[in-house]
Amino acid sequence: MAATQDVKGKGEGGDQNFDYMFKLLIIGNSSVGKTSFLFRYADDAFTSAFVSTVGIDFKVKTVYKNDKRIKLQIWDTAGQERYRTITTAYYRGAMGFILMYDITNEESFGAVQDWSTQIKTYSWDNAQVVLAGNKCDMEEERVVSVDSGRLLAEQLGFEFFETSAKDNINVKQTFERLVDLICDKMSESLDSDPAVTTGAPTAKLTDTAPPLQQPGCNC
Amino acid sequence: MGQTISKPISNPFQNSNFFASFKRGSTIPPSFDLNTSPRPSIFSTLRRPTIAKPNDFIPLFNDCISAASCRTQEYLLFKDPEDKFHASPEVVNLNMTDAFNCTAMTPEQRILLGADWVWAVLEKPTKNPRIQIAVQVLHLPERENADENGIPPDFCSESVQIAQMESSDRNMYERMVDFCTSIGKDCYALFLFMGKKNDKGNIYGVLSLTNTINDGSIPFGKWTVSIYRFSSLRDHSKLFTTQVIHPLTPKLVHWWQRQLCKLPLLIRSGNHSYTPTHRWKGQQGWYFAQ
Repeated sequence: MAATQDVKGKGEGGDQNFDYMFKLLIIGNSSVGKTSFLFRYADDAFTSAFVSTVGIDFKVKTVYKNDKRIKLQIWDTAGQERYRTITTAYYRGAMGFILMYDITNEESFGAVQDWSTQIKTYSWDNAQVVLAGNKCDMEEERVVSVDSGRLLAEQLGFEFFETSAKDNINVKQTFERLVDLICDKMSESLDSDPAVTTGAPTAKLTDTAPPLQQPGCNC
Repeated sequence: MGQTISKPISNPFQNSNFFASFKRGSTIPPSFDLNTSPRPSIFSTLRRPTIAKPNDFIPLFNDCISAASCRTQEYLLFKDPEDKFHASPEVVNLNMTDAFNCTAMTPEQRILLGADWVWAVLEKPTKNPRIQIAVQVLHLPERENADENGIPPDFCSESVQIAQMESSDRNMYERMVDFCTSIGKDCYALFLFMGKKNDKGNIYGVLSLTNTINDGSIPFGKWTVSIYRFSSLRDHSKLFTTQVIHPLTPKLVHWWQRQLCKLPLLIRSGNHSYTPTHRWKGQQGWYFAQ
């Protein structure tokens, strides 16, 4: 995994200089820790107070990878069923998903298959997914084993991490891995379809994904 | 995400400072009360003495209105000119944090969803929203076409710009209506009409939209509209109701704003003798079309 490097000391406001823009979504049942996960990654902050997300929100974070500047548009979705119409509308064009469950909540783990189906239904085939078992700091309350999580990820064809937004475990690694997967997929698509690099129309990567600033991906 | 602004750590009605602010005093009734004897505030008339049954959410809803009003009072720097706005003992005993919350939207959410904040009546024990009211605040325009997104021009961060691009196909009213529509019948849209931005204590009307999806009487996606014009804490005028609109255009909303501005003339022609100074300052109430 090629490490990405956070861009420090540069404000997000009005910054249009980037090589790639990736749209990522964090999905999963309510209260599994999606918002906390994003806050930890984007702001390096954590609060234990639970505030249910209304609808959808997002943050922007820029990272460097192989001298390329990648802007991550990270969308935080509400997990409650009542917001499903809103949240699924944002699946379109997403290049990567972090599908999250709570290792202390069996129901949230049982819903992973349904969330996976949602991705297949509302997103595109090339979207990359990382399964994240959050709250791994709460070992005493664990009801979903690491092996169960890993096995399910293998069955679904996803990468897998156990994470903790609270203790900052594997948060950055999860995003880095997702960025790697997206870059790999882009390179793979470019290799198999040289038309992309020449700017010719293609039904693959550039079909539904956000337009890239540069035609090729060398990240 | 968003910021919860009405999830106090403790019961707000148990706060001594809170009570002090509502302490009944020996005030002289304002000039617009000259022809009427003192009456209970609208909040005490809303109160029901009966014990709430599990399925009887009306008392709870009334209490939520009281709590919401308290929060709005803080937001608007409400002065309670009649000094009659005070919590009843029954309200004091409620644990509102389990039953009600209000989430302030982030700047990005304000653009994406069209709402400034969202009130929710919560379901026990999950605390999932059972009834929601999405609120959008409208000020009298300082100038035509000003501040369409409600975001100051100097606050156009990159994320705000991205949110604007994502939502560029609809205006801010349509975004909130779409937001409420997508949730369903138990989500209401409430537009608060306020005065100029430097006069935050002045609500002069509300426009509530009741989602009529699945009602059968109105086509899908259309709304029943009720507009209230507030003239005092205990006197309000319901202007229009059960009018169906679609779509909700800026032109239509601005038309309503203009009509509300003209309304004082209509009231003055009735039995009221309010002076404009007293009529519109710091007077508020909450009503929802159901």
